[in-house]
Amino acid sequence: MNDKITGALSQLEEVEGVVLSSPEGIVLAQGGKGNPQEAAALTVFVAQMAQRVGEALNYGRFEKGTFNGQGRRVLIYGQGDHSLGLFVKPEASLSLIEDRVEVELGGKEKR
Amino acid sequence: MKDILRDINAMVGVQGSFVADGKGKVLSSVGETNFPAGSLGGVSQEIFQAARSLGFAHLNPDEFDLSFGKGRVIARLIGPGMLVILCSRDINIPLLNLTAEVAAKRIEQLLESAKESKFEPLELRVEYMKGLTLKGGGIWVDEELVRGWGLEGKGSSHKASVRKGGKVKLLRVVGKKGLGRTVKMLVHDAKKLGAKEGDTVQVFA
Repeated sequence: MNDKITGALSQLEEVEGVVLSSPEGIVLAQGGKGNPQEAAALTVFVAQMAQRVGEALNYGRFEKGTFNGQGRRVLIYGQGDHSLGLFVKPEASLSLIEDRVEVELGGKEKR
Repeated sequence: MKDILRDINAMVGVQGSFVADGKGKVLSSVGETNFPAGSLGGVSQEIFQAARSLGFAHLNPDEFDLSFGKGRVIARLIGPGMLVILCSRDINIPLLNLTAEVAAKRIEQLLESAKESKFEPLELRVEYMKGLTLKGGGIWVDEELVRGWGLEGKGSSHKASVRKGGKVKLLRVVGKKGLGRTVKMLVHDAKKLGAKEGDTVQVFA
């Protein structure tokens, strides 16, 4: 199931790599290019930071986040205890990718 | 700086905002009462530390956009500090980006001028010197004060920035004997800052 999600998302033209990570940074599933261990560590690091920020502000559960820098763009989704990280091209349309992620995660109907 | 943050908070959906320095210390905030006491400082440290760690990994993020069940946090890393906006999930993002872009530029200017300053800023009262025709604009400051900044005293001229609210004006500081701890500003310079006689401005030498 996890491999199916990361496999489908990594097929998107604007996505360079996808990783699903445990809270300990263990790679549960991956697809596309890049070092999955590094990607998992980065994904969990940002997701856990975001979770603490949400708790401090009483904003509730972390759902998703993005960060840009050095010509890279990273999309991170909180998936219960796990985190999903997508490494996308800087010029990528985030809304299209976000729509597709929601479809794969079961939040939206497939168009 | 507060004025800039108030402009951001005037937008529908914005619940609070703050500016932090290059160490994650909150310098100014608006809407902090909408959040648990002391939480903005913790949030600032979290984001700052994350940005720093990602920088070590050569990622150097310039923006975080985090969405939660009940809110959204947008952090822009600007020069030596960061601007953080706390808002509702359904905020009009294109409009917020426009507002944040303008605000970030103004804040960056403020942070940069503070960073370049070697000395603690001084809060001094504005007194007009009508008829003063100091070429290029300038402020007269007591010689003793100029020396206290580690600069040369009487008759010397140094670069300085004077601030009031979110506005900054670059001027020369001119050391002059016997004026006391008072900033003497040209009327037109004071007007550009929106300062009136008797107002307090910050001087950075």
